[in-house]
Amino acid sequence: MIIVVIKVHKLKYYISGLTVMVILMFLIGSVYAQGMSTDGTEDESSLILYFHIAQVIIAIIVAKFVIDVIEATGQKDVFIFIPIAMGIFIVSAVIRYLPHLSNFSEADAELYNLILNSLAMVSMGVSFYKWRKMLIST
Amino acid sequence: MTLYYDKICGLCEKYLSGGGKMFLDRQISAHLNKNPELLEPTDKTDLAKWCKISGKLILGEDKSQKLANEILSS
Repeated sequence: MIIVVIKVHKLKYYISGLTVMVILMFLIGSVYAQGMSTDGTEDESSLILYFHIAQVIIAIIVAKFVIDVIEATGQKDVFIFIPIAMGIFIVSAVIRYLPHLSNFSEADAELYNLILNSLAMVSMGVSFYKWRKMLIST
Repeated sequence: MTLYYDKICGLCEKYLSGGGKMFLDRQISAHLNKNPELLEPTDKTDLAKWCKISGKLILGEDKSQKLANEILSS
């Protein structure tokens, strides 16, 4: 259902662009981490950091775009769940990186990350459902 | 509300069920800079233009063009 809606509204271009950005950020992070490590191997925590920085940046871009759409169209009820989901993704990215910064356990971080990501997905699903429901009459 | 506003609102509702009124109010207040109650048939060119631009974001190009055409011919 989500894929159909995305195709119909040509959002696929945005999604493709964002996917390319994630891959690029990850690759840049990987190359940078290799350069930084003393033995030439990848520094795992740097990789995770760059991946989560990419996640945060993309979440901000998507949230900004959707907020612009809300402002232009007034459809707050329908699209508000997407910026909320992006906010949850940002929190989730921060939590996922916590074990590298503090004594927060890796298992707890994974669990909270999973729960928050699921919440964000549900939130986005609600938005897409409402959007589809709104358009179904035409 | 005026008869003309109700007519345009009906058109928007046809394309955005449940969200047509909010969409129309937003276009009138933000782009035409007037109170929705004061919408007049002379505003239809500007209104159609903005409905097409904003509608494209959530309806797609074809449907927003159709909506703009219906507003222009109303």
